[in-house]
Amino acid sequence: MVGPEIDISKRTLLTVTGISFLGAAGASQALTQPVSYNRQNIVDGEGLGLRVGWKEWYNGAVQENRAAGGSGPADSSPVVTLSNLFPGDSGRLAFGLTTHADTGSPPPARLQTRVRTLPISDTENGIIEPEAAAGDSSLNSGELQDSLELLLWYDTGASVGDAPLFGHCDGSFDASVDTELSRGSFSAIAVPATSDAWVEVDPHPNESSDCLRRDEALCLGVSWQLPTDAGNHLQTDRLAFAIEFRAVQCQQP
Amino acid sequence: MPNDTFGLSRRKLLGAAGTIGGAAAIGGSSTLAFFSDEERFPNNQLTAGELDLKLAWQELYFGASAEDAFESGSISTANLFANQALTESYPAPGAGVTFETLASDDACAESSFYADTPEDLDPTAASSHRSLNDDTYNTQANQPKPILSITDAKPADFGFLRFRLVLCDNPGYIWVSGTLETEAENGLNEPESKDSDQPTGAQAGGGELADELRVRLVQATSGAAIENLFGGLSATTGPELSEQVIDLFDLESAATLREFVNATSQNVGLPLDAEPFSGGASGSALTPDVFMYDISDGGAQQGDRVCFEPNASAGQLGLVTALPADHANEIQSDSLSVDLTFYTEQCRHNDGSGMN
Repeated sequence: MVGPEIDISKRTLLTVTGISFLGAAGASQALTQPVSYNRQNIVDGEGLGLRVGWKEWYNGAVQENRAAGGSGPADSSPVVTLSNLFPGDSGRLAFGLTTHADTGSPPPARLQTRVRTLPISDTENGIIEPEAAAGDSSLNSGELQDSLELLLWYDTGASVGDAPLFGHCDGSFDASVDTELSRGSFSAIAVPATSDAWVEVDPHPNESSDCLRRDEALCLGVSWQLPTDAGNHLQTDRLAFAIEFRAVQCQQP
Repeated sequence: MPNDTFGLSRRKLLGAAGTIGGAAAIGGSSTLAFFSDEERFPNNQLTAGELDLKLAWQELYFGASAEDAFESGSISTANLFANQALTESYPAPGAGVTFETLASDDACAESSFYADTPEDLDPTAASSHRSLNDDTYNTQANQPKPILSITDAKPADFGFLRFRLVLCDNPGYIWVSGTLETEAENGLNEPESKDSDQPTGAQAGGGELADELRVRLVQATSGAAIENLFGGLSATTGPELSEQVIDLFDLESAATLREFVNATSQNVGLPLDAEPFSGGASGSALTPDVFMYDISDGGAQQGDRVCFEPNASAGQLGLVTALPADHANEIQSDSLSVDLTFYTEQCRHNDGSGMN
């Protein structure tokens, strides 16, 4: 069934054909001579666009709620900006991923995600007296990344057949219905700032196809926690990071 | 409604993922010609907060020299905390800030006149604003003395050690505890030896002062409330003042210093209550503005007590000590010193029962 986002009109069909033609040319070029399609060459959404909606909680209270959709600049704003964190604090995010295309319909796409450390100056942010008393002497580097715990998971919840029942896209990890993707300290989970690495996300674990189809949506959850025994050496320390998602056209349907 | 989540209503929401194999990190494939798109949420920042307890204090010891100053009129009940009656203070008079003007000082600034211990306990340290005198520094041993040092105590002497506590930058529970650093008999002179209460032999080593000195812990809603306590007394002579102070705080039936030290060594100390009149603390109202803790009963109930707020609402505490007149000879020449510890834990996510 063709969804409403696909506009079946003569003009669109021609455009779709045009894109296919370019895509085919590009692909055959790639076979003979590697062509790098970087961000400047591919207009967001023209062939394949990724849309991410999200909702954020901090210590149980909703912070932000943004529906997916709307075109905009390729780089979005931060989703988490929190200060005055204390041991026992926690935050969680629910992300809803779909693909789209400005013209025609998007191809099936592989999904990838990662948390990437961003270099900021002065993650230690000064050593105040309680930190020094706890033995903190590292003037140039904070310790937040070693104590902060991260969890990434498939926020799918329970379903009956194709019908979602409960616990889906709620940003709350429920081990009985959700599936972990990655868990550990921030320093163990996050990739370095200049890293090429992504973590593969599989929307269809029970099928051979790993691709998100144009009529599908997948929810991923990201949560963080500062344990209650985190320690005084962390006072005033800072951490900056990016949360990133990627959709890559699938080879298979 | 689930289907409206993030505007995903027109999509089939992928359900139970089942068992997923270990996620593999792979390199980017930017050299291929396939369409791709990335959505980045950059510049997320998490910054940890701060919890730092800072103190200022004044110590009044009403012994022989303060009594002289009182009877000569240079101090009165209206200004008992004048510099000439003080044994020590933080900040010291030369710092240019008074205990009263401290109220509007920014305790949490780097240049603040409040103390962090133990570093600021050393009056010879550059950053310290503690008084430098025989009561605060042991020049022979080249080290700072504890906050409360009593030597040559006489019956009817009393002392008042008042603290201003400030929390930077977040609410916290606060506890107080005392430790007997030193106590010494310092020999037995003749009147001591004749005193039937004076132990001899092996028991004579530590002195009896800690068992005779009486202690009260009070908390006021303001610094003025503490000054008003004394300002309301009518005494004109030293002995009258001592008697009135001992009566005011009912020091005759108060816990001894040793009992105070023992009681506050439980857990992380005696729990304090930012709103002691609200019923969570064990004790009684001395006046509508001054609460007196019942030390023997363990202080505040942890379940009901209130956290201290940062900065503005500083805790005003007072430790009153006195030697009632009838416990006389056995304490002659005894001395002791006491360290006090104020301990704070974050209020957030905390039930206030103390980490240890």
